[in-house]
Amino acid sequence: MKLLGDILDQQMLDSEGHKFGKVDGIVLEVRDDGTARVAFIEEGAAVLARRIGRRCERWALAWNRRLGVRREPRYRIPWEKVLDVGVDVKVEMNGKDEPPQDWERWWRERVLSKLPFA
Amino acid sequence: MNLLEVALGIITGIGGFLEVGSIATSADGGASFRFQLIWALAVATICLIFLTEMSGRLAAVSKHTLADAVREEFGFNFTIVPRAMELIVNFMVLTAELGGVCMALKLATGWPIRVFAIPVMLIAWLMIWAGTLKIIENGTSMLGLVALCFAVAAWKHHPPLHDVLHGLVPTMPHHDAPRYWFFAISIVGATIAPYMFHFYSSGAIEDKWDEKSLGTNRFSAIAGMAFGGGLSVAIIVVAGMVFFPQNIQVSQYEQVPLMLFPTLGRWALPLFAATLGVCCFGAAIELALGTAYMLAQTFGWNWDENEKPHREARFAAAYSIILLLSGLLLLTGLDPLKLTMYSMALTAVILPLVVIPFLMLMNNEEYLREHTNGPIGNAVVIITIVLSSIIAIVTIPLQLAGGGG
Repeated sequence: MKLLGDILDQQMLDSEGHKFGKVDGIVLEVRDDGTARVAFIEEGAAVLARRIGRRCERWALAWNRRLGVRREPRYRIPWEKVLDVGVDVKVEMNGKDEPPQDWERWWRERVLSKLPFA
Repeated sequence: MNLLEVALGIITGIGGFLEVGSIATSADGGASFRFQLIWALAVATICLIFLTEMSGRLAAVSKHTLADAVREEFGFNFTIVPRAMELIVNFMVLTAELGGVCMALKLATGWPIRVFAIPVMLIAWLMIWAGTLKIIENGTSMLGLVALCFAVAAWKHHPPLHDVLHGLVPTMPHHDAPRYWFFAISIVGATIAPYMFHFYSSGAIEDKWDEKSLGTNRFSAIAGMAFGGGLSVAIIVVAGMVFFPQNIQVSQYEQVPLMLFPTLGRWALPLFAATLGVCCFGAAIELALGTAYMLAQTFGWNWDENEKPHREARFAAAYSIILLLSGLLLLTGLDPLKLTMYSMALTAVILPLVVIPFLMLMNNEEYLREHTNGPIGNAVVIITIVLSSIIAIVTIPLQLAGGGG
């Protein structure tokens, strides 16, 4: 499997088929015998920011703290939870209560629910 | 062939094609250069037909929208550049479209634009918030037919057919060369708008297109865009017949309906106001949705216009915020015609950043399998886009320095 082509930047779906972020990063683990395996896939603004640069990452972490909406700006999913890699990456978990949906929940509860016809 | 599926093409044709940009650039272009700029519109329309067909084919075969596929193939660090530029351009164009609806209401009532800015923004928002894509599509398609008044006006003028056809051949201007080229690329920018690719490919995914849909896709791309392009030619012809001989240049929107008076009489003003209002309203909705699709697909949020807003809060927040900001910008009282002309030219500048990665995807067998692009589509699109962008980069400073618009 070509890691970068097949997983990185793909859409993630949870067990119920809901979109919950993209694969923003991949964490590799190098074993004692020198071979590498994917340990985690990562999601979050801090992960994305790091791809642009260290400074950008610090900035993203600082803003995440200041806004205080999202619990964990670098969210890791163990590779064992990945069920299928096709058009999307299917992950075995209920995404609804996980950090990638913190902002979704914040907009829904704090803003959108107060608008008419919601 | 499913008529409802074709409606997706027609609404993209009306909402995305005939809108504040093409009405303004066509009217101004015809007034200044008679039929001489028809070629720019023809080239841009053909290019747009290819690009629209490609965005539907990409979605039908690969099950990816444009923003999804570009991020996946070129990575986040690349994708953020065109998407950020699109966000800025979309914000300007959305403001211009809302300004177009307010201008239509101003023509009908005589009240200033600022009075309408916030109510128009709220109604557009409510349509997306409480309506569904099908209602929006069909509603705008039906109401957009009022734009046929331009075709009727062009017909009644009995324009010299030979001269109109001659306009299809690119020629050098006899006067005002920088202005001529600025108009040419503004017409390209008004015709080929990147948000339409996001809107169209997302619609194709929502409607669950597959390889069986490719015929419908081709038909609706050609029918919708040719319809929009034909009406834009009609505007150039009418402006060329009425304004050009009297040496009237369009410097304000209020002048544009005057070109319908000789043929439509007392119906000129209401028909023009209705056309401008409906087309800009449809385009504003497509733009707000197109921007939300683009953001959701870049960051992996839930998106589906047919879902209830609370099921996809960030998607709903995205279109709500951009609509709100555009409404507020309109309140500052900037000149909607100038804003339109410069937004269209700026669109032409950023087109290569959006379209070149798109073309690379369309030639990638991992996404398109046996349905990759042919050489003609590639050549037409790449030549049009790259030339337009270069001309735009050269002429915008000249136009700004000259103070025109």
